Amino acid sequence: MANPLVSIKRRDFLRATAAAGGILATSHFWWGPDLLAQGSDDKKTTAKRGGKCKQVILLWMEGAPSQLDTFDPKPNSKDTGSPWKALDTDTPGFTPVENLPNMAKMAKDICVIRSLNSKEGNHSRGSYLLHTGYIPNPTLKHPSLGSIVSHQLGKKDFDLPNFVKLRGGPFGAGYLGVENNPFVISNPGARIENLDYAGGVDKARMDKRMKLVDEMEKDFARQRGAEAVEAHKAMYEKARRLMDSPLKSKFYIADEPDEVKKAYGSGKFAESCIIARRLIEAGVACVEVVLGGWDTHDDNFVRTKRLCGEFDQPMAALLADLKKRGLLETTLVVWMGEFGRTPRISATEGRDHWPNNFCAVLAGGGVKGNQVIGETDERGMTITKDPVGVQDLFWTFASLMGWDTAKEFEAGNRPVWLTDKTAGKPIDKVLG
Amino acid sequence: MSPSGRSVVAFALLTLTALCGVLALEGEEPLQAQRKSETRAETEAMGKDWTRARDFLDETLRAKRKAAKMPLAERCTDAEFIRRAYLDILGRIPSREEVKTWLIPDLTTPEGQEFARLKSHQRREKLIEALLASPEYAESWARTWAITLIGREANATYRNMLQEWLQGQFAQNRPFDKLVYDLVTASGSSENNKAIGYIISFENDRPALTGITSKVFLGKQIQCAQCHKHPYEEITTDDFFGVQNFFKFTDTRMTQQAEKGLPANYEARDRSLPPNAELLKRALTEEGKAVLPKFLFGETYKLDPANPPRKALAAWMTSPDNVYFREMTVNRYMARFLGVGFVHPVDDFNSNNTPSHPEVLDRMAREFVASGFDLKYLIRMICNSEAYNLSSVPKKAGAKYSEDRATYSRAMVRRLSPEQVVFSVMRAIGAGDFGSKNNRDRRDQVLAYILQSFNYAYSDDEGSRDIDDYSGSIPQALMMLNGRLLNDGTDLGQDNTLKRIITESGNDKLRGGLDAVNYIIEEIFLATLGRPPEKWEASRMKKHVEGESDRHKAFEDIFWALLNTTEFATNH
Repeated sequence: MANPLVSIKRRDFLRATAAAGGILATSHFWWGPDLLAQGSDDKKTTAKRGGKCKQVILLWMEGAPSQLDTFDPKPNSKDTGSPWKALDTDTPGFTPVENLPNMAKMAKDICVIRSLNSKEGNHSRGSYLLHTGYIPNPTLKHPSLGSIVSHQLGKKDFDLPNFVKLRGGPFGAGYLGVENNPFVISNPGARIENLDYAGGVDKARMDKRMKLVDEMEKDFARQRGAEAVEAHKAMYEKARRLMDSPLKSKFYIADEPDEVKKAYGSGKFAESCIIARRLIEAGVACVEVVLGGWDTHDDNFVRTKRLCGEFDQPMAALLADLKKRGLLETTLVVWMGEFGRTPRISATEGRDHWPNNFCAVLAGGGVKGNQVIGETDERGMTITKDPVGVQDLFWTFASLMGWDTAKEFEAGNRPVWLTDKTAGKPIDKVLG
Repeated sequence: MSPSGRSVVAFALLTLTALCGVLALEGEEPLQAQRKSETRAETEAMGKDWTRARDFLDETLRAKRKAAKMPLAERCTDAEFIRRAYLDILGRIPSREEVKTWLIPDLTTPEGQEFARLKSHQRREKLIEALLASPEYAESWARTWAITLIGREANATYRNMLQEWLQGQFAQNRPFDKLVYDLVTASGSSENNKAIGYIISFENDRPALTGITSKVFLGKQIQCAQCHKHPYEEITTDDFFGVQNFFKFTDTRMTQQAEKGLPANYEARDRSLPPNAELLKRALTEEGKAVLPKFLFGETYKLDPANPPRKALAAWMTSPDNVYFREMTVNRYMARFLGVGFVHPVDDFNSNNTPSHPEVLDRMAREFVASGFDLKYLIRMICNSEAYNLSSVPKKAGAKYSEDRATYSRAMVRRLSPEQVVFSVMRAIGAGDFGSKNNRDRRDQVLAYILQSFNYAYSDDEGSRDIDDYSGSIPQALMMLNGRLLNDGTDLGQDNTLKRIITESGNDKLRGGLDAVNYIIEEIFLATLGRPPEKWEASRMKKHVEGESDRHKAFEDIFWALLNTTEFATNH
């Protein structure tokens, strides 16, 4: 009978099996020593080569933006039904739709990927994949991009949370632990719930109350072990530090000059982009801004035109503003959604789900701008050049930021890594 | 159709034999090989008497502790037990009235006198029975199970449907095998069958449905095999798709959008089966390869219109012969009540994560089957055990938590779930009229709002966390520090428990010899922590009151502070 106290733990088992390469080379295990070696050596060196990027802004286009009505228009194809003209730029291949005049002017600073593709055409699965770089697995929660950035680049001693999310969305830190979860602001710009002292309570009274709590904690810690008490205390201290911090003002734009507000334009998304910049300036590692409404199963043209209007000016202004303040070099800005939309227009003037080819836009943080990666055929149905997998994108993020991709984490009882060892590699053209 | 899977054993043995030389895996055997062969008749002979399984559990744990030289913690106090049982069975702390009922029997009544004559373990048994008979039992377990099945982030419509159906099931203590069978085979419209809430929540994402069903009910994490051969298990990609294809003919859809206050309607149904085996094969061919429905480690499904795939899967899953199903269920309940399962993580049974006490798991699981898959029977067995009655204070100072945990040598200190926090805070401050019927809608609305805020504050809190990880998020702390629920709940300008206590303190008879301040302090402790204060605590709190010019403010501070302690935030 196996003794539970000496029973071998799975992680140790795996480590041992890796050492026992000779046997496993012919075994049924899916990763042999060759794969492990590749993961820990080759990719480690590639992933470490960038490292210029210190902060990230993710502009998440929720609902899956149409590539045809944004960055990969096909004005010569009848099937797409698109009434839009494409804009010409000096960057070869960069011909955004006419509804993106401000982004067209940013060509020098951005890198458009037109050949992103996956197999996940369902919103929750696609969002998971594009947020984490992994295919969803109900038995394990992978950390999302912002949580990884928080874990890898976040400050240890800091008033603000390392990952702030402007508007909802479920993707969090998974096995990286709650301290890397997003601090979600459901209504950006408005007073944040519970961040200020409740009525009738001021700092002095709160201090007194917490003193009572601390005294009560001593016995509990002494009798039942200090771990629970210390974790509890650490959480409260962080919360109070945030409540009392002058950096709290970074969540609001009231003191932002009018000309800046004007440059970003109006609307919630514009306001969120200003907040994102303020938070980046204050040192937050990752800010995710969500723009919803892209699930255009019907009325595609009216809706995508409105949505382009909502992000075109703010995004262009954000890039320019970051550049002006010298932050763009170290801040990666990513624009993407969960997949693309069908090139052929439907009877209700809609586009359905299409993961076969779609777009992402990257800028800053060491990304080589002024280029377009990948190409699709005239009808927008097939990738004809440089296909990019979602895992490639995450390996590229890892390279830009120098993530520790060799480190093995434990989730449940399983070994897991920040980037998928079974698929993808950094996109050389992005790294320049 | 036995899930014992001879080929698996053979494969695992082969692999392990090959590895033994390198790893010196002394005596380590795969899960299935450890199982004694038993007949169904043997199992059925066990009957419904939970005491024998409980005794076996106690004796085996004792023997193992002795072998590991682990000292046993003291038996917990009655106050500790009452709080623990309320939290585990009803999902909330007891109110101060409830604490007093069970702690200090009312000797003026015959019932109270009789209760006072009972021995401690008999009183606890009585308490467990009373909690199991409460309507709150069904409500709380429906909530918990809905989260296990579809998560906290699931769409509210699905969750409400599922929860409503589950509550009905738990209210009548439906045998768990039948409950699960109905859940997995549920079809029809949401108006008529709320059980479809489970299936429709996956929105036709069959890999997820397959992965969760296998993990939750069988403890088999086959999901990884969706893309590649399982790294350290005997599960292949074909095994995964074999299970998934039982759901191949099942579709779900929304039949009517939500409108004018009416909820949306949904439907789950099965397409008709191909008429013969050849066409079935063709229907299941993808990329040139046919994968027929196949029971995990078992036989391939044979086409039979009277036994469509989904029903065949559910019947196989919930069969008394299915070791996975019964052991997974027992293991989950062990972990729910004792903080750690025999297998941990609870729902990840595999040859490298074998049970710490296989003989007890085997016995309890078979007794569970013999009871007719009776969940209340399982709870009785666990709650009346020695391990469940232990204190969370270790016998030996500085004892390693991990060792106590592996041997069940003391009660684990567990963080409350978001739902337990919400319902406990509400109970403590006296919010929400839980009995009144005409207040139902309003109550539900308020509850939904509070739960939503807590879910947000605690988002992504499950799955990732280990049992001894107590770290929380900033939004959680902010909610407890500045949120309305706690601040209004302790504000004497509002109607709440504290206000009632203050009013009572003016009544000499109610105070029973205590002065007003002492009475108030004692009642605040009972309301929040479910126990009277220690001497030093009472005098410390009294000092706080005397140091404040506004005594009412001082009492508010005390009530609020106790709700923000680790003692309140954990089950211990």
